[in-house]
Amino acid sequence: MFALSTTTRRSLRREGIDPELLGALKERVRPLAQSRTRLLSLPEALVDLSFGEGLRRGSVLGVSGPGSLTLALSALCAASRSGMWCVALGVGDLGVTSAARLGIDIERLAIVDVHPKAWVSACATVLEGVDLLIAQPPENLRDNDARILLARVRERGALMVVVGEKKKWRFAPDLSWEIVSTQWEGIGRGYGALSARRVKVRCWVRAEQERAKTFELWLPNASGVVERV
Amino acid sequence: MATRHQEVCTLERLVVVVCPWLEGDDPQGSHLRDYAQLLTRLVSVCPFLDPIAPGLLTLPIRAPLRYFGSEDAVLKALYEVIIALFPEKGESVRFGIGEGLFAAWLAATTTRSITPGKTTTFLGAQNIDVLCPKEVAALFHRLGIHTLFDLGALESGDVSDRFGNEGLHYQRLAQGREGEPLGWRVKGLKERCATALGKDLGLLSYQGGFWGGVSAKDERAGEAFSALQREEGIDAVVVALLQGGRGPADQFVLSPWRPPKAVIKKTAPRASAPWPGSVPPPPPSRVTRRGVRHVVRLRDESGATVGVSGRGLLSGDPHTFAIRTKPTLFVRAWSPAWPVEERWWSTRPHRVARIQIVTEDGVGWLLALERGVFFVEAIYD
Repeated sequence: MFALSTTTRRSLRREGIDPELLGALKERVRPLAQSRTRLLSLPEALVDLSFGEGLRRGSVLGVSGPGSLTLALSALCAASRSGMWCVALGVGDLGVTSAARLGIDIERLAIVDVHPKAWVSACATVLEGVDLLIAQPPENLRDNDARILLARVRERGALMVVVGEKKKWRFAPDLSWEIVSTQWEGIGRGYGALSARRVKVRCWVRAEQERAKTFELWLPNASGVVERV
Repeated sequence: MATRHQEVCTLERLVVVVCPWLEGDDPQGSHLRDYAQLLTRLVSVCPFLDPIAPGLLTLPIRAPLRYFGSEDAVLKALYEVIIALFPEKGESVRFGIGEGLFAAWLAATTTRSITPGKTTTFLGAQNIDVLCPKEVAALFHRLGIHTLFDLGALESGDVSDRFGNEGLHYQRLAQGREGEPLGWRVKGLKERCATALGKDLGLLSYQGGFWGGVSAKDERAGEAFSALQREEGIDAVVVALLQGGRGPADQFVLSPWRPPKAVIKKTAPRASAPWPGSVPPPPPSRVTRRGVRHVVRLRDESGATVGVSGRGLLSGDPHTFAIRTKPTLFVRAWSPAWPVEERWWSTRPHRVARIQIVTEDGVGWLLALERGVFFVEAIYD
């Protein structure tokens, strides 16, 4: 139930403190303390995609497939609106209008565009001061560098959303969203225009790919925001 | 140039809600509080409310329409929210539906809903008096310009010469090319409403500068950005400002991030103003930066390169899509090409046509045609 070692229990008893009570107290306080500091809110439409958890600080979310950038931006909009800075790294062609439409506070959005060779050091610098990061890794990101960045994400309590080809980030993300099918509405063979996109997203936690769940989303819907089908 | 009026209005179809009893300022600020209260209630019908001025707000009809099924049902839902809050005002509230704020507002005083696609005709039939202040209207009447159609039919160059930018603005409103009359929008209204209520309104849209000041988070981020700019150059960290524009790349400007002290608070110049011929929503998530060209070759089934004729017709059905260095993809769907005259104010306008493509992998593309070559303007990633 609560993890107090035998030695701790013994020393607590010596101090006259009831270890059962302390353990119970700890158990009651923990969810509160953690929910405030460790969890970032997700927009309603995406809560189920995180298995009801929200996004944990100090973790990596991997988003892949066509539409992944839109999904990544949507995932960060609630946290962005709470006053956190968001950086797009390696996404030099970010469509800012789209980011704003999806709910990112663009007053606290910076686009960091550096030479691929400087990507790792730029990423490390950004993680010093920024909580939300959309990162598109360059070709040939070395495992060692990725490991260092990952450690920094954990240590800083940042949230790193990796977009782009899955193979460029070789570590299993804490949470993976893979867009596996895409259907555009409003456009046909020679008529209409892109208006809404219906996607299927496969979601799994860390290495449990065989227990993945699939959800259907409008990404975005006809009003330009993400919505569950 | 009467042909202009045959054009279909491309502005967003809006519902305008007019609550006359909340208009204007009152000393106790109760109008503002009631208005803010109303906004927070109406969010249940549509989160994309756009507060224009006390007593006046709009919302795009598209999303609630899908949910409620008909325009009447949307209006009924709005009406019920309003009378629940203001039980005695059922008679006073007015609704209008049409393309763009101006047309929808006019509809609120007359027919209520403009038939989709008829907004330019509807506008054309209006007396010039509805458009501009009395003295300007009197001047138009003396010149034989009695309706919005008359004004819209003039050469825009002539209008500009005689009436300057203000005249051009009236003309574009008359033509249904611009939806929001200058001076209608009360600046900082959302923030004032939020202050009046003591909480965020929960509206979904861009809210600039709501927090004001510089937080600890801003300082921490600022240190990282400064460090990065020292290492990689000032252009390594950029921030964006939204603005009006037709092409996806025209709708925001990027500038190097500067420490907060150096920032002069800027407000985005009418980011929501509609631009004729602009790319329909949703906005693309990737926009090719200026000066970058990724040439795309579209071919039809016979292998012939697809081009666009002077009248905007494709020379064949796109079948394959190829960017140099990447594998060729099949085309799943495509829009008609729409011609856009970019930089109409410049002395040497260059014609651009645009087309949207969906490739077999499900990616949406916005391509631009310039001097016979297609290139990637934006990607719907």
